[in-house]
Amino acid sequence: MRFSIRIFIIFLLVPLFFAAQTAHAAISITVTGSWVETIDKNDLISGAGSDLENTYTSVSGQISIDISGTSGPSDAWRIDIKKIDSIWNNSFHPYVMRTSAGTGGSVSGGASYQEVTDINAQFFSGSGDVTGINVQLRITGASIQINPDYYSTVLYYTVVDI
Amino acid sequence: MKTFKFLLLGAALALLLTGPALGADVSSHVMSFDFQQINEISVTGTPNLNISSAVAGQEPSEVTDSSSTCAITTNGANKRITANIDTAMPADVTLKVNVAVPSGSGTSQGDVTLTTSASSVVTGISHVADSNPTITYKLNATVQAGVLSTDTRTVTFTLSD
Repeated sequence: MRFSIRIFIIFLLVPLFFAAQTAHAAISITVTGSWVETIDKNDLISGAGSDLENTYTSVSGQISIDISGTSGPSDAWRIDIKKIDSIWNNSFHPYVMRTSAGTGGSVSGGASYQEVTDINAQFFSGSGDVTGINVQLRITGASIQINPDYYSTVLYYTVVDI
Repeated sequence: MKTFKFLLLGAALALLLTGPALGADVSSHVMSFDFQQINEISVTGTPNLNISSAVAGQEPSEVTDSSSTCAITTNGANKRITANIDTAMPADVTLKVNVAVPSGSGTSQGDVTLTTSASSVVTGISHVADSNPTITYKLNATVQAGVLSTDTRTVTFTLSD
């Protein structure tokens, strides 16, 4: 094959190579919000002599998720979730639940509380661009056995184009 | 032509394999819990102690009241309960208090004489929630105290480091 033809083919295929990648890489997720809960004497079940409430739940729309950059309403995706702890206590069990479908596209699953662990797990799925998917958070495992401290973990939401 | 096939195969593999791996994005948020120190104590009961008898040849008989209880919650470690009275007892009269250990956490100091200064009654309390430890009061007097009219004292319990 002549050298000029080879060059032509390379120039033809290299853009195809990158175009193939960018077609999939364009999908994007934006998570807005955070949750900081203060637990003090007002959270005792019945004042002095009683333990702390075990479970704490955020407001319904504590977290909002936007999915953008899909190739269209039929471009399917899924959301995986995991946590990475900063200062944490293994007695705590964090949960997430999708409380709205947002606007645009379509969303399914995740409508009941799901525990978040250190390992990625599917939360919910959908297709197309969607904005304002609300998520409610919950934690269980609080008690007076937990030392006073500022506990924190980060929840990571990964959108995967499928 | 062989080179062309090779490059075409590479592009196809990029489309099938590399593409989906890059078709992902990550976003995150923080979830935090500020567990503040909790040291709560409350007391119930209005004990009534009345010395009115003695065995011949001995000092007046001690009287005891165990009708009071306290409720304690702490998420801290090595806490103590102290007690004091608002006004000193009359001469030759002694008021003592004994607080039971809450849920097996800590050490009772036994019968502790109450004064206007705070005295430890239970020490070494850690991570406990108990609504029922018994408080026992004991009142003693010698014959030198004489006959006294009814009087009251306020006992203050404090849960602290």
